[in-house]
Amino acid sequence: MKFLKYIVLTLTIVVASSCNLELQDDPNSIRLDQINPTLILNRIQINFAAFFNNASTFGMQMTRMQNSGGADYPNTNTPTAFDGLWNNAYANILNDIYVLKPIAEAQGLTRHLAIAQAIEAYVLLTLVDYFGNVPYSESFSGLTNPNPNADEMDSLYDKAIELLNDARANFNLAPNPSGATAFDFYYGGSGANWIRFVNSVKLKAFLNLRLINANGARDSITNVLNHPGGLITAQNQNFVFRYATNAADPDSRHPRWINNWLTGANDYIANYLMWQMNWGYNVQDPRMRYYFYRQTTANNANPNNIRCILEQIPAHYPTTGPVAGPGGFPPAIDRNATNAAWTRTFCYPTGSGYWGRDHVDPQGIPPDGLLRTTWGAYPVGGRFDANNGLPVSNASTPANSMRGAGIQPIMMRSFVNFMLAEADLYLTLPGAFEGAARTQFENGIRNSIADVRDWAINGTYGSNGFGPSPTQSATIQAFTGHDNTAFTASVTDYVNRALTLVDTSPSANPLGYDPTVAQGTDELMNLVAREYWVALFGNGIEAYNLIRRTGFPRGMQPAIAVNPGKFPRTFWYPVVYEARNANAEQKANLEGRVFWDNTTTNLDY
Amino acid sequence: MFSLTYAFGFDTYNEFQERKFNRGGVQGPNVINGIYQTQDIKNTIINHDFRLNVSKEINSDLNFVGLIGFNARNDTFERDGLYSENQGVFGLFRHFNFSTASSRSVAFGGRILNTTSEEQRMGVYISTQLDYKDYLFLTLAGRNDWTSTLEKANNSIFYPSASVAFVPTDAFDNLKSSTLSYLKVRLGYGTSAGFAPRAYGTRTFALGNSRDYLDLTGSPIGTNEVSNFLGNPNLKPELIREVEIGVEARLLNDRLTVDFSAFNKSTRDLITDTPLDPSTGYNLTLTNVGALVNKGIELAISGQPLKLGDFMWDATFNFTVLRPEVTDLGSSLENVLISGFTNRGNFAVANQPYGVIIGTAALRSPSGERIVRNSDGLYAVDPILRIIGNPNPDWTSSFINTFSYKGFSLMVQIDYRHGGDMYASTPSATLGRGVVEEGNNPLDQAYILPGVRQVAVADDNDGVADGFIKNDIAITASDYGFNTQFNGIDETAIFDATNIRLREISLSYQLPKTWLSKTPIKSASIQINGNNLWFNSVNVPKNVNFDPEVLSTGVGNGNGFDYLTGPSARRYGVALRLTF
Repeated sequence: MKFLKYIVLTLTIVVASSCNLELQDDPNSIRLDQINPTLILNRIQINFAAFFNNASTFGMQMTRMQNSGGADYPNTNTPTAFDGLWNNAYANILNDIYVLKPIAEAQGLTRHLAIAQAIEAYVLLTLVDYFGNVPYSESFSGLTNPNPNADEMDSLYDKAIELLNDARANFNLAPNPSGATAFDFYYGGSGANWIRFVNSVKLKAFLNLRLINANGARDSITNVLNHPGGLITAQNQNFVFRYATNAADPDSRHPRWINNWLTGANDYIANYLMWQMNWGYNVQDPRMRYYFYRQTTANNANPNNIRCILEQIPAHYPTTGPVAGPGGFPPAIDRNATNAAWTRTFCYPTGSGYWGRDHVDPQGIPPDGLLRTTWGAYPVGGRFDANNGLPVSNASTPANSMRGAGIQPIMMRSFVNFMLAEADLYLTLPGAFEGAARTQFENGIRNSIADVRDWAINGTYGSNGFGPSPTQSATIQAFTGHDNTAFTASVTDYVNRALTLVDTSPSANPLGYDPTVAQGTDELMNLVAREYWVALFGNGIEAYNLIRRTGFPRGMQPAIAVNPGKFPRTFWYPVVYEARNANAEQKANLEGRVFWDNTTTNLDY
Repeated sequence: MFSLTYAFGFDTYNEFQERKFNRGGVQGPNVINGIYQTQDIKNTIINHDFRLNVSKEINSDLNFVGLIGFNARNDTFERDGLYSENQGVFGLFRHFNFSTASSRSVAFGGRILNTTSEEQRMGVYISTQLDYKDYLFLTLAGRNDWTSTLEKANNSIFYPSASVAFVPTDAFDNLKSSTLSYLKVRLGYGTSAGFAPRAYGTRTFALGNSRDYLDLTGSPIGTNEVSNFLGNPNLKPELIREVEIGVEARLLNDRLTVDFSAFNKSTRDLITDTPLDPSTGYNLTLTNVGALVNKGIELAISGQPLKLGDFMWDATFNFTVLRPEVTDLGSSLENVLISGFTNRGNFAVANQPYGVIIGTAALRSPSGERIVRNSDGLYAVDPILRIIGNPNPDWTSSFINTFSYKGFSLMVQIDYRHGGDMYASTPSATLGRGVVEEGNNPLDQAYILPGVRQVAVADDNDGVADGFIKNDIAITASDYGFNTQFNGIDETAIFDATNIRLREISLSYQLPKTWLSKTPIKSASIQINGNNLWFNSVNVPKNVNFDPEVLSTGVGNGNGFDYLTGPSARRYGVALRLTF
């Protein structure tokens, strides 16, 4: 009997110990009440850079900086292509901000709050610019509302401006001295610089609004310009996300570098950008060797590697003569009939190995991953093109690059210059800003070129706490024409050529005015837009806004197809939104515009 | 009579996994420097079962058997591991030979290697059976379960069942004859419960990574982020109900047996992974998605068509029809992904068959023809994903024949599946790339895709919708093959999975007992068999030789997807069986 008692006792213990049903907390995760506000803000800042990178790809594809596939505009990017962007925006960035805000408010973490609000505003503006009406006010409630309705896009612009104002107010407050210190990827803790960023983002938002409400935009921009915080005007105020060089756990390198510099290039640079930079003003753009790295310095003659060399130039492309394409004449290109540029508007943009793709080229991919031109030192942290002509598979190529420690050029001082030039051309600005378009144009070019080269030389803008990236300084100083003295001279030459075009009347100038553009403000805007567009390399968001807002620069390379359909005035809604949200409806076509876009320029080519 | 039993179960396994990539690989950025990953996995199930059995003969006609039980089951899973990159010496796989180590499987989806999970389930059950004169049977049962994978308010479910079986040929003596020797009718109602497929699905958590970014000085920067998985505190157990009626009869001196059953199985509150619009803040949750009904009939006829002396021919014919249908999604969700990808997969859609295939399709004119683009003669892609196929077969059957003569026996099984769609990359890619000979698709000819194109003309009675004319744009073989068949819309990769197949042939010989009488062997037989010897997918181009039985989505609910899966295998075997 005693034996039986022990058995019963043992069994009771065993059974009782296996009756615990309180096992709902995941031991492998962090409970929401344990979240560290600084650590979640870090994630928000990193995801924001990924969001910018992803969104920029689509914008650069539309604006002939990077190639897109698809036979026509509606198919350049199918709805699925936007799933990742949408997920990162809502499920990562905005939801993390939604969770962070009450924590930061409760703990008085003004700096956390301010950074989160600034990022939230930028993401919101971008979502509207890309998609139109999107959910926001009904979002982030999980299963309480699994089908958030989209908000009107203009109300979201208002919301973003409100967030920017809140952010600015919070940046003005001292960070809570007893609370956690926010880690600042962008400015190393400078609230003053953040205020400049906030003001610059407000400028960009109001500039978009100038088409539908010129007076309102003028007043709003005037307020921004009168704000004591100022705009981004110095190199160390550039708002960039910086990548580092670590390869494994975590891979901290620029995503475009990872995608192109390891086993072969996966992206095609658009031929049109390389063509413009090579031939514009009849002099090679000083930035060209920093933007693009050629894996071969000679034009390849093997049609198995590059099929277009056997193909006829499409009849609707601009050609020798010169005959304009469907979009008119490109600015800055000499219309002289003997200009060699006109024979290179298709396939190879130059005679020296620059190898990309023509606009909306749907062809299959030949084995050219170790031949085509890829991203250079700026902005992705590749290599200065010193006529090396070595593929990325050659170990010395990535090793002698900036090793992926590149940047996301989210808001540069040159962008601010070009935006102010545009604002001056179309609006009446306060004080010294009025009538300064020519100066802003010149400063924009100079600032852009300086920021591009200085990035490769110094590997830092001194704007955050990170040390310098591996630099290209020695190579650049040793390369003919790129040492300090020679480079300064070539910049002056380039700027003078650009200014000559601005200063002389079209009739007296053989260089690239489009005779179909009305003389005066628009023709100047065409030139400003051309330079802004070149400076925007790596930032497709502003480039896509620019071309929709102004219709400039004119005469960009047409799509390969004669009739490529309507230029996307916004993009498809992502499948994850359209298919999973009962209140979402896919667009019938891509002709629906964002509310601020009322231009009449035809972009459907 | 009473009896009490206690059973204790302890079921555990250990698994050690290694993944090795020497440096120099080209698949993706991580593999280039070499990877070594090790994982130790331990899974343990502890089971306790108490049962009290009661049986009593109430009178000579009525028997009672009863059972009361208690069950507790505990599942634990533990995994630990290490992931290393940057190999030093080529060919050596030990962690010391790699320069960075991580607790995450960086190159293989980034999952955390160091995890544990635990689930606890308890149940109380009761079952009674009454047996009247061996021709009427009544069974009643019920069970209540509690689970730790759901929140306290919803963690319990009771599910009863009942069945009656009646054998008229035993009840009424005059019914039994040489024509009808046995007849049984059964009627059953059963329920069962389903629980969350994994632990920790009811709460939302955050994820942490203390090395999310490594700055240029080598300092790691850590992060927290809210998980993209939304915990659903209202998740409740799913209840499956099944009504079945069946008739079993033996006829013609037992030479013919017919077994027929029809059932209606409905699942309420089906627990499933439910993708969410990320604008909710999350992209995935677990929900109870309404109702699923699966109606079906099964018929099996077996008999002996021929008996001539020692020669016998036995045949069995099976016929199955299943109609799984989603009757209600229960919430405001439009559809729920069951398996695959958001833009191409099996979905649950209300009032559609379970698991319909959704993917990209061509735009349709008002009268349903595919629209061809005027710009290049290819199909215009519908920006909205459409239902492009139903993977469920209309019916399936098999026919099994056994011919025997003395010790020899020849078995032949033929299977036929009628209908059902498949997204099949193998025929799509091979046809599209032009690597199979397809007599009708010469490369040097122009093609015109069937469909219509939009023109600015009024109705001209050309048999297609107003504003459209029949497509007349010629395209190249490459546009037809590569850009339409292979690389176009998902719709073109949908093929009919109807197929007939010689599932098995086997020839066996049973050695006569007399041969073995002086050996310790009691019986011996030798068998030669072949499996999957021949098939014909009647509606897939012949030269592709595509077998629709391949499946690329692995174990799970996926159905009807082939992503260039390896071909199915034909197998031959020889078996010698000895009994001592």
